[in-house]
Amino acid sequence: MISAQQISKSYETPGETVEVLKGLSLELADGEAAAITGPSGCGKTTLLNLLGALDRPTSGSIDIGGQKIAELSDEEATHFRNHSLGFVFQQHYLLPQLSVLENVLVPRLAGDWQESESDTTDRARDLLEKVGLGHRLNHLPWQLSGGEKLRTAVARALVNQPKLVLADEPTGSLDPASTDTIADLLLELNQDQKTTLLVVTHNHALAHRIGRTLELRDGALWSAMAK
Amino acid sequence: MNSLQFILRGLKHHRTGYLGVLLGSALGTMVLLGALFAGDSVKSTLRQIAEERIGKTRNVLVGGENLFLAELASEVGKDTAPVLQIQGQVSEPTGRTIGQTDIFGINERFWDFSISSDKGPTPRISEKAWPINKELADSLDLGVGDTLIVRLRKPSLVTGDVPLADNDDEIITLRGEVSHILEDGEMGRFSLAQSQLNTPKVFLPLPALAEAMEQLPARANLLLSRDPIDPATFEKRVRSSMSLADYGLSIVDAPENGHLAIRSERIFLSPTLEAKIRATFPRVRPTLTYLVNTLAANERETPYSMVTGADPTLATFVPDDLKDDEIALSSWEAEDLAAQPGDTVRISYYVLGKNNRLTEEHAEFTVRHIYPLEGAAADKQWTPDFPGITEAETNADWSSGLPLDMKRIRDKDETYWDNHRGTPKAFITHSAAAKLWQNRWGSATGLRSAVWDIPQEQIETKLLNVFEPLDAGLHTRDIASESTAAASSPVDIASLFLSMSFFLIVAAVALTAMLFRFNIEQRNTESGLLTAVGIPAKKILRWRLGEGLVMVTLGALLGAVLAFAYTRGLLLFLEKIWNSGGERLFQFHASPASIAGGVIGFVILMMATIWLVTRKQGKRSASLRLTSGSEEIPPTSHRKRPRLIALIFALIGIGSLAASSQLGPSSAFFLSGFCFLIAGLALWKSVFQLTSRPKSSNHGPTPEPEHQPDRGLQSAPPSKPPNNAAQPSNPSLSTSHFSLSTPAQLAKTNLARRPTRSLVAIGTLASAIFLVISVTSFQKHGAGEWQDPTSGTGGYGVWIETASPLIRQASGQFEFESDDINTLLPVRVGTGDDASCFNLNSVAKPRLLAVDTTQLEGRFSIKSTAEGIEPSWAALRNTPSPSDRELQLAPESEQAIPLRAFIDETTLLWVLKKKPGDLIEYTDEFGTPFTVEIAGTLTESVFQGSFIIDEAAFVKRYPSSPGYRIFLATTSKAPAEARADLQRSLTDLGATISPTAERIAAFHSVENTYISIFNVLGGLGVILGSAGLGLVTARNLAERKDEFAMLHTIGISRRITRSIITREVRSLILAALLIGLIAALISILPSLPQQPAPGITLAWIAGLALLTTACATLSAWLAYRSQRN
Repeated sequence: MISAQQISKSYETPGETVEVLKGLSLELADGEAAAITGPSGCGKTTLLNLLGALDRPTSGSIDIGGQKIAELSDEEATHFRNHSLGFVFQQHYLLPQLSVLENVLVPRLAGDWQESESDTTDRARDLLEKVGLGHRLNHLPWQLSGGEKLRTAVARALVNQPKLVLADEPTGSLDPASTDTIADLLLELNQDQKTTLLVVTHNHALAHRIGRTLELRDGALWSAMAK
Repeated sequence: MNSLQFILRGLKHHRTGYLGVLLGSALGTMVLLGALFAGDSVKSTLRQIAEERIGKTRNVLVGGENLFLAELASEVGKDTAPVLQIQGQVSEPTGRTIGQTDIFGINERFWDFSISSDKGPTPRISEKAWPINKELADSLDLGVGDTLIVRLRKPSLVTGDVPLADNDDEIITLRGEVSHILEDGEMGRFSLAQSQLNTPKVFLPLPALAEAMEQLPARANLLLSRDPIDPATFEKRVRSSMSLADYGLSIVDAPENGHLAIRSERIFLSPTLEAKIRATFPRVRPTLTYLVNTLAANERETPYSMVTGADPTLATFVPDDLKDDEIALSSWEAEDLAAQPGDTVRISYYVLGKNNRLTEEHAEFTVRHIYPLEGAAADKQWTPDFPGITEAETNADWSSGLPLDMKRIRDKDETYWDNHRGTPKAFITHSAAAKLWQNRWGSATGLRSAVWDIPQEQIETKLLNVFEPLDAGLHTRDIASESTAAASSPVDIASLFLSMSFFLIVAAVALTAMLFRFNIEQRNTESGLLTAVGIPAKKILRWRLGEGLVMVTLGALLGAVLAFAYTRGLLLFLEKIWNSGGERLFQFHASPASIAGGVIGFVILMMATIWLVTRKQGKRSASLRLTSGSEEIPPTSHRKRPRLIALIFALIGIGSLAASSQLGPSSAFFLSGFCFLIAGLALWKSVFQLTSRPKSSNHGPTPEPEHQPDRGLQSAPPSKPPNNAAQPSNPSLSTSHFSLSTPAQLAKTNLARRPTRSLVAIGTLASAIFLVISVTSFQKHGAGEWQDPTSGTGGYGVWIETASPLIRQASGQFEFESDDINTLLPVRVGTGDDASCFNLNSVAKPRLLAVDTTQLEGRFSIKSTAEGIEPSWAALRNTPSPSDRELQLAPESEQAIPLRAFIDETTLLWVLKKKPGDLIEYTDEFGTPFTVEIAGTLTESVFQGSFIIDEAAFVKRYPSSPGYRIFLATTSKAPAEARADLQRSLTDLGATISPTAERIAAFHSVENTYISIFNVLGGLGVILGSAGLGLVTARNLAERKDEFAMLHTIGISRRITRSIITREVRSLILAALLIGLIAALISILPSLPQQPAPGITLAWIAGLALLTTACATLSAWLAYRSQRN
């Protein structure tokens, strides 16, 4: 599913070049789940942004589901994210003016979905049921708890039935119970839907539950077992 | 949910934030539409006034001083009316008087020209019941049934300053009552003058007026036509309807000679008519009869006798070979002088010299022949009808314009008068007579012949075929077209207000765009999220613009509603200039085009600005937007650009000041001011960029933010060592190499944190300060230096304007002159309209004022002249210098020489929109076109709105010019005191007297009113700028709530955080004040020493600085309070 080869990411500054990722390679099979850990500032989010076509590598190639995403134009990258990717952020980033259900349906606003609106809505309802928010469909974000907001964000990431879900510290701000709920949801998705899952986390318990764990250190990925 | 629903949901959720956008748009639209509506209202009012002023009149025949028979109107057609227009004064029984009142002699057909003629009965008018207009009624508090007394100077058929014209006892008084008060639409505004200003008017029945003036049949000087025919057809009809009497001519029979003579009511036959008559009837010969003061010979003299110049072919009783230095005496005269052939006869006579002063001259002739006073020699028709003389019963009853000493009349003279009336006592050749007595009115008092080849009744027909109305000084005017063309202000009010409101509109747009950007920045995360989930950036931008469009459109519509009230306020300001009181002058009018154009224009302008300030947002990466939140992420490239911009604009500013003579003071001022403002703002940006930058660092400047996604809320890109700690949320605190030991340093870094919003707030406030200060410095402060001959008053203290033209008395003085008057400058008023700033209409041909320019040497200030013309009054005397006897008629070639004129610079720039050297075509009294060359400009003079030309050149083109109507005087008493004295002595002349300083101050008041409007709009700008500063403060505080909470949590007292905020706000206010003040001071510096009251200007500047500081501080404090709560 994911084949990232020798990717580097550096930032040019007038004084120096800051190299965040240094020839990093990553292989992730279809339906595989993996966790990436590492100290703060080591480049985990940068890696996820590169894999999610939110940013471009300085060098190297990234192949996701057969698409070389580093070579996509902005429009193609946007289309790719909208149709093939699910993103879960540490912050929920829910739109305050929209209800829970509408927030889940936000990706449809791209306007080029072939699926009918009612089908998407039905699926959004199902997803919200699944994350335990079936009774909160018309609530606004401010009426939700932190865990509920994050679950809504997870539902939003899944509404387009993505082949790959990238999660950036999805449980960073949650209590243990909510962390378990989210972890259950993501793993269930991985197991039932064979959705490829890549989770950046500091949470060792979550990483342990996911199974394959990689540590990002000095700009490269290391197998956690090798640590 | 579709895009529209999404937009509406966003608007609803962020409605508080968008309220500012709505209000800003409303303000901008209101100001923009206000300017357009003001323009519409002025245009519409002028059109309405023009319609009321001329009624249904399409074409008009204008005679001015040249009268024609009133019955000509009936001959021309049924849709015509004759009008006699003269100026006079009106009093009410208690003595209150108003001068310069238009007195109209009309008949019933006049009312058909009223635009409301179909709406009801015509106003009642009879011999003693007269309609008056509202202006007169209001001036004298007159109502229907009230008594009024009209005094007017009887119009003379003969130009007042023609020697021999009767000028005495011309004022007649008529008493009647008000029958009706005419509304503007009922011809109460009737006037041919292209001005919105109304004058008092009274309407009398023409026959009654003619009878009172002893001028029957009735005559008129206006013939109105409402027939919708083109001007050429109208002129043709007039021409075909005119009789010889309309040309002032008559054919008289001289049976003693068997002659038919053509004579003019104006004594002298005009050269044009004379030429046409002689061309038609080659056999006719001219005669010139003149009143000589003395015929003397052999130490004897005969007083006051007529002498005729005629060719021997006409005067068959004189020798055929009579020479020019020979004279033939009648037997009566020869006896009286005891003269014999060969004796020398000396004749003395008056001629009109320089400045219309009568001077006595003399000539000697040798007696060639003595003829008996009988037969052809006793023909009384040799002498034309001299008003005041011909009809006199006795010599002693003579009433002539000449200073005659009636004590010289002897009994034998009375007997001669009884027996022979004005029969000449001597004959000379016509050429000799012409040399002595030819003047600007002509060289013949009659044309006669014994042989005409055709019967008498056909002579008139033949002559009428060759005459044209212009030959008699009658002009046709397409008054409907003229009025339509003039009904547009020379100053485009809409453009004027747009330019005056420009800053306010820009400020509103800038602040609105800033508020919009606040919203966008606040929703950066939302935008980032939308991008992250695959919504195209362009689509997100479109949604944002869609939200903006909805709010801006709603705001613009609200602004359109508010503009109705705002415009009424602007019109009230304008009323101060052009309305002398009474009812409102300007009628509010808003054209659909202005409403639609204004609203759509503003929305487009606003959306373009919003697009400019938000388009970059769409280009930022999703990750960056997700992480930056509401923080502004200024580009760190081009760090040197602000300094470069500051330098370039400062240089352009200095350059424009240096080139102010080429650019013009106003353009140079605004351009330099604008440049200094931009330079100041750029410098401020540069300085704060420097202060916000790490002073020393191993890492160099902050990494390019576009490539620094983890700045702020998320983790920063790893620097060495990579395992650094998470960064604090405030970027200003995020660099460990900063030394933040004092609140001042933190305040400084915070100022640079959101440079755009700080810049907009400072820019708005600074521009407002600049505008108000600098425009105020242009304020005109009276004319305190009126005694200075080089000032705009020319050193004259009093301006006198009389209802009727005055001529000099025989003594050479004017009748109102007293010992209190030291010097007097009489001014002839010629054709053209008042082009001063008091006239809202477009004036193509300013009024000609003719003066003896030799009297003006050293007076007034000639500001600029056309190329090759020296800055001196002598430049106006470009025609041959007048001799003491300006009796020579202008040669044909002289008409081709442009007549040079000076004009007030203000009129030239703003009304005529021309420059020195330009030419304007006029038509002289005989319809011959001539050009007036704008030779130069005067600095702010009392002559604003008129061309000043040399009198000698003027009278050659307008010989019938009746005298002087304007006088500038220096008096031994102070002008205010002299005014009271002069008012008393000029009561009968319907004069208005005003100190020249007041007149200049009145002109200044127009410019000052514009400046006041500018100031009000600038003041609004200051308020807007202050409000902007408050908004910026409030927004900054709101966005930094967490930051302050954090500071408080870590033990930093509220006193310190308050100090940080105070310093930030103070810096913004100070920056705005400094930039605005410095830009204004540099721009006005060159003109400051010339300011009449630089102290006032500087005090004003200080006051404004304090006021602005107070406003902005209050605004910021309110913002602080609101956020603290």
